[in-house]
Amino acid sequence: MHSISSRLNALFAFFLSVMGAIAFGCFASTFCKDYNSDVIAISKTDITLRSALDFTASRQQSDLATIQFSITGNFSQLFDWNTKQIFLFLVCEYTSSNNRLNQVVLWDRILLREDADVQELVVENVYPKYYFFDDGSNLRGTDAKLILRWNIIPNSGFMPFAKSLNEVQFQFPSEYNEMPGQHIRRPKTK
Amino acid sequence: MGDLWALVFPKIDTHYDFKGQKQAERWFQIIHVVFAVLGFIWGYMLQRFSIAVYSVLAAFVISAILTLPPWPFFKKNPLKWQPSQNPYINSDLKKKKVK
Repeated sequence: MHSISSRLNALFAFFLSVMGAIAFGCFASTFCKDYNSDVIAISKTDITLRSALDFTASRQQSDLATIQFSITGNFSQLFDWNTKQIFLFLVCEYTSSNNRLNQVVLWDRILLREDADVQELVVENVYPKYYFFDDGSNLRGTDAKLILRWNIIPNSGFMPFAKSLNEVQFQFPSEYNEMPGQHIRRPKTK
Repeated sequence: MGDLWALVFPKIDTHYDFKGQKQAERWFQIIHVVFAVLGFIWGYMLQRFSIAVYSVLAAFVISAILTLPPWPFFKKNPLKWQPSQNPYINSDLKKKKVK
């Protein structure tokens, strides 16, 4: 501490320690919080089920579903002082003969802290962002659930996963929707 | 590493005496802890973490202004050195020369 550089060194080191301490305090104030929420509503408006050649993964004839949906809700309760942004994603979950649990992400969105949508997110009657190919051709007549999940990206600490407690249960149509003039190549085995 | 201040202001001494160093360290520790606690509470009440961060940054700036430059109040207790003596007076060397 006899010269400016050594005083600056000591001061800066203490400053960083204090900064670390308040970051830890921020983490400690929110690590037990439950980020599940029941004020967000999902609804499905339309389902279309087709059989198509899966060009993304298995290259087999598979079921291709298109689910139109709406999401409305208020996310401001999830934005405490430790939340930097929220990664939302809509998942369709179902059981099939190939797999005990299938989870397909249909849509996602990053909600920043300063977005106006945080107070009132309205996603009205949209098509999914990502293709919904089944692993096989087992969607006809299957029961499924639409769940909106989110991942909280914090300022300091863990990144908890949580979900909307309002899930939508529905059933896929029992037959394919044919487009006019389309030849459906029916799969050989169900 | 030499002191850069000495290159720019060679006539101003940047040394604190020991009591001054202890006081300077105590000052910046107290400023940082007080600002951090107040900023943390204020930030928690408004649910904005940036408030806590800016408070600690403000503490750093204030402490830097207070403790980095060579203020005179940190030099109030200089070490009491013995008066300097000419090594040739009262020594054998001088006596030999006189004789």
